[in-house]
Amino acid sequence: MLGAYLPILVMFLIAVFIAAFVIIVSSLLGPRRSTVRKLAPYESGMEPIGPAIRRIPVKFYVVAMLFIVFDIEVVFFYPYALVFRDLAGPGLVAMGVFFLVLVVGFVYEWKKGALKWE
Amino acid sequence: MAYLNWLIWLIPLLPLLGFLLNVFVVRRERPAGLLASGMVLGAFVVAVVAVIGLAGLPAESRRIMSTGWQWISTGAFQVPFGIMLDPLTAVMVLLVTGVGALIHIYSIGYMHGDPRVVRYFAYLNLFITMMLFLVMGNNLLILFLGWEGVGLCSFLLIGYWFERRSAAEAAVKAFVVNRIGDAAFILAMLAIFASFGTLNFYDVEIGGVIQPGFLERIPEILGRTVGPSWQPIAVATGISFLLLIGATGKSAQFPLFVWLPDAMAGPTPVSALIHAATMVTAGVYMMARTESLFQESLATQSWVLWIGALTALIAGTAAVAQWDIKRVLAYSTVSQLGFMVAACGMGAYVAAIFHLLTHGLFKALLFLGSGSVIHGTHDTQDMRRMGGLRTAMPTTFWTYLVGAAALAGIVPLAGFWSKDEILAHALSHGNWPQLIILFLTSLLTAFYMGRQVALVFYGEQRDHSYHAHESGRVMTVPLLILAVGAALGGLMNLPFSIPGGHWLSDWLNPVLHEEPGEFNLALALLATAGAVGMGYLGWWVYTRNAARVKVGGKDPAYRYTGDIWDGMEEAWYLDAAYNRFVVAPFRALGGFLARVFDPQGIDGLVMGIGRFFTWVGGGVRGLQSGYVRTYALVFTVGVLLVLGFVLIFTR
Amino acid sequence: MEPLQIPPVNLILLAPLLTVVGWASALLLVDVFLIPEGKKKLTGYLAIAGLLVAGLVGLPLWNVSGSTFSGMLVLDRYSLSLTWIFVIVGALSIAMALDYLPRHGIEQGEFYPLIMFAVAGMILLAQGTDLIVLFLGIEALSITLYILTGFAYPRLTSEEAAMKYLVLGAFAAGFFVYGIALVYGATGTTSLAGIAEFLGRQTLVAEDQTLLLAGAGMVLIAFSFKTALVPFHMWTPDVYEGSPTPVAAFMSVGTKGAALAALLRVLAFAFEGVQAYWLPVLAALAAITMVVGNLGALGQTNVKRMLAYSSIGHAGYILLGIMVASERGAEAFLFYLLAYALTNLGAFGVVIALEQQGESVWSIEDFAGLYQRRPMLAVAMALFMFSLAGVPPTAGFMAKFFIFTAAYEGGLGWLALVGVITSAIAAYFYLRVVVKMFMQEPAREVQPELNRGLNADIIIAGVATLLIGLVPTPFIFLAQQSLVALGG
Repeated sequence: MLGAYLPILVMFLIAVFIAAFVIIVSSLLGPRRSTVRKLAPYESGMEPIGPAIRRIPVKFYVVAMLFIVFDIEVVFFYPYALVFRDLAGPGLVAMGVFFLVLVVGFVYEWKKGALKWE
Repeated sequence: MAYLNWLIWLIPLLPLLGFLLNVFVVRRERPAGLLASGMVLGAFVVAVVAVIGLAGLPAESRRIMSTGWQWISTGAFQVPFGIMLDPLTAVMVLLVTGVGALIHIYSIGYMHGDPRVVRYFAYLNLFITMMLFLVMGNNLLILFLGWEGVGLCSFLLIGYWFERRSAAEAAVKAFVVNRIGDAAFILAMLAIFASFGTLNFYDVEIGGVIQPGFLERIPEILGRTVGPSWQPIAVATGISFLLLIGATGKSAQFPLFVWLPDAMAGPTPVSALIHAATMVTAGVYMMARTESLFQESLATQSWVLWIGALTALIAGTAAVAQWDIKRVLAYSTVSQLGFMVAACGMGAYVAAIFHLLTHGLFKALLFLGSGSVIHGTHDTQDMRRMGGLRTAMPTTFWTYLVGAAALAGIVPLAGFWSKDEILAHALSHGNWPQLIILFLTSLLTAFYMGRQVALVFYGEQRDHSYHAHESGRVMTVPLLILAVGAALGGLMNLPFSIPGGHWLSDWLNPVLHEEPGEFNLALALLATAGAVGMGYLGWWVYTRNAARVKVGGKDPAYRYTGDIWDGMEEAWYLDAAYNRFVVAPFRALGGFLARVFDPQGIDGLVMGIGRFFTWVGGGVRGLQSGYVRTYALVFTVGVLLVLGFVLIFTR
Repeated sequence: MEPLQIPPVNLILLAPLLTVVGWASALLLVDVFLIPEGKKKLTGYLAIAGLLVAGLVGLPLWNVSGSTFSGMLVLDRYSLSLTWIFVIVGALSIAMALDYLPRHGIEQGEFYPLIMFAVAGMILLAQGTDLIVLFLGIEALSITLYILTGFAYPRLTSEEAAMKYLVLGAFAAGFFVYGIALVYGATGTTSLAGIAEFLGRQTLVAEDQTLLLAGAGMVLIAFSFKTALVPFHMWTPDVYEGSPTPVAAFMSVGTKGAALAALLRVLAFAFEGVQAYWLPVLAALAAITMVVGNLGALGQTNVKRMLAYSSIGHAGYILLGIMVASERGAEAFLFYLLAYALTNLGAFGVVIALEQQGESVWSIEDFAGLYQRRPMLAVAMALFMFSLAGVPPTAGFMAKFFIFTAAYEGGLGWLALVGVITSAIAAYFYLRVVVKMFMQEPAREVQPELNRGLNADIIIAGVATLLIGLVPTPFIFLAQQSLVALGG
């Protein structure tokens, strides 16, 4: 029964191994030359101290939302690719409709200027 | 008599036409008044023709049913939009259109120069239409349509002079108090439909199919009960009691009469038409119509009897102590309605309808007379500022005197005969306590009318800030016609076995199935002597002490009665009691609910819980904003209750 | 692994739904590409046309019934009648908005397709016979409404309303999904017919019983949120007040109607077997909804909030029809929905006419003396108020009368009693508006603005309110006919 889930367990282990490997190896092999910048909690340049709620340009949200649209698309298309032959014609039509709906949304956003950064 | 089938539709439709024209077409005062009066007069003429046609039929087939269309038609639930004309409806229709027409004409003079007068006539016409539907409907739903319609018109007309703050408040009060009665009425309809499967009064034939009527199927529900086994209630009692509550609202009976005195804030012709002659008698009409249902419940009948008698007495005492000329008449109306309701409770429906008709005539006369006084004294209503008006307004004075004598029950005016019939019935059926109460009330009636006549028309004019004058012909002619009616109205139903003597009894017999009442000479003599004596006493006290009546001062009788007088003046503080024990707690509850459930004013209880949870979840406080947390909290409480119930209580 | 099969699909049965969705998608693009700024009214007219076309497409389907997508969607007269009601509601709401949006400086072409998408969600709720599809419908409806609520974004209250609605709506959606999962766990299916069959076939073991009841309870809670039953109603006044008035009008009748329609199907078919459990819950909800809704309206001086509370109260009345598991009850439900929808849309139409640009206070004082200035408008509003209060001969009276008779006959006499008493109380606050209009001098200068769309809305609503009250028989007949096929 549980045997069916073995591949998932294996995937888990591989993921954990890779994450741990990268961190450990880099900490073992990397040189240590501390500077003020490097000792900061966030190396990305973000101020660690300041108001908790800060304004983030709405553009980021738009991008995030667009990402979800295409993410969902991918989630749907990958399994479809597997059963592409089984579903044959009707399946193609159904996916076409799905795609069309996405395209309508995408074209709308494009025209609305959601893809312009500035 | 096939023509009657369509003719009777004209009766309500003519005033409806007048209403529509006045709302949508007419813009000026004069055509509005003429149109409105003409339409009601036309309805009266049609009614007379129709009633003559009806009288030409043999007695047992005097019931014309006419269906406009099938109003509701869903499986077993069939209600036609139908009206009917039978002897009981006929007399009501004649009263409504006849008195209504006179009051319309009178209004042309009374309302002259009012800025919104077109609207006034539109409302009046709508009222007549609705009142006609009320008395002509051949099922309870049409009756209820009229019932609500007249309530609405009453509301609009009480609040007609809305610049006076009291008027708008009185209008709302009237409507809200009436809604209590209406709610009971709706429940009664539901119960009747559930018990009989129909709302028709009598069998109606529509398209060859006979739809049953519940008044002819009363025996079906006898012996059936509802309610818990330890306190079963007969179905007939339940239904008739609900109908009684409905009647106490509309016919201003104890404990719901408080709206009627305030309703006097409306124009005086409105008081005459709606709050004396027609609308307030709807409850009595309804009880007479469903008489066979009431007769099956002794319990309800004794409630009806006691409510009527007590209302008569309470309002009678209150009428004694009023200063406002119209409030005297208002309490008097409540008191006389109590007589009618008590008569219904005794099973003397003919007497009730008889009193309803005569009262409609003389009370309309009195109200129009008081309107003439108010008009002639430039909007004075306080009787302390009047006095000695009989020389300035002779026609008004004489007609008023006739009306007052008729109300007081002085032989041979209309009120004597109808009141005597009620008292005689009480005597012959041994209703002693009620007989005594009603007799005392009739003495009070004579007293306060004597007082009023003395205060208004005798002595010297106490306030000279206005110049009293007689009203114009358009107002005095209706007074004269009504005075003739008030004088001769008793001829309808004389208690003597002469040809045409019991005309009303005989006429109503097919509907109410009652034998003519008996005449008791001793009682009649006693009542007459009492009425004359008390009337004279009232007149004498207030002409002798006329000098003691001061503008804004106390009544001369106050010295002897003290607090009792205060109690009478306030109608035994029923209003105050409502304010204290009903209105105030209700407001408080509404306020409480608004605070608890209305997010705008959140504090106290909910906020307390909210704070508690915020405190518990201090770590996530920053994530929450505004009051959403409170909403979610209430939501969660609801979830816990619902799931708790399904999962735990049903185990 | 057996090959996947696409189940046979009969798109004819979904014709109105597809028309609305297709038209709305096309309109979205037409709007951005072809219709210039300032002419967005054209989009509105096109949207109305689309809804009407969808309604017409439904006409030949009156005698068709059937289910498709493996029984997840069904077309019957019940769903078709509801579709027509929703289409009318959507079209009237758009008509109200045509001039409202530019007047308040929030004209965006997207408004109209969004309303259409919401209507599509509502139709989905009417046609869905599977919990998953119902969830889809609810979400399609909700997500568009979150946007529409915040459409008057220059006004802070609008943003606030949208945020509140979104947060609480997501909360409720969570309950729905969890409820579906539990029901599936207990019965192994999400199809309404399947659940009914499962419940009819065998007695459940204790654990499954618990799962099923908890699931059904959660589904019920989610619907209660959508229909704003007390105590899941807290968002309603804020959201109605904050959102653009045409949206509030749309929500007050459309959302409520769709959710209740779906609830009727869920309760009457899927969970009929466990009626003993949900009936007391629903009865309690209905009773407190009627009481709190009507009492809450008493103290309001803001007409929009007053109408919000009034709509809460009316949901309680409508619930009576749903609870009575009889044909009369369902009939009364449909009839009430129609009468209430038209009356309420009319009332909101008058509110819009009085709404001034940039004002965020819908004070009852604005109605003072309306009769002097606009007699017809005042008469229409009075008609709507009397209909909502249930005064004959209006539609509202007939509807209340049907609902109460159905409840009384169905053995819920005490609820009918609560209903009659609360509607007697309700007369007071409806009457206050009438008093203001007819019995007061104008308090401040409010110039009512009427235009073609609003006029059409008020006239249609007014005529319908009177007509349904005077000649209800054809509408009852329609409601009866709608239920013929509901049995299966």
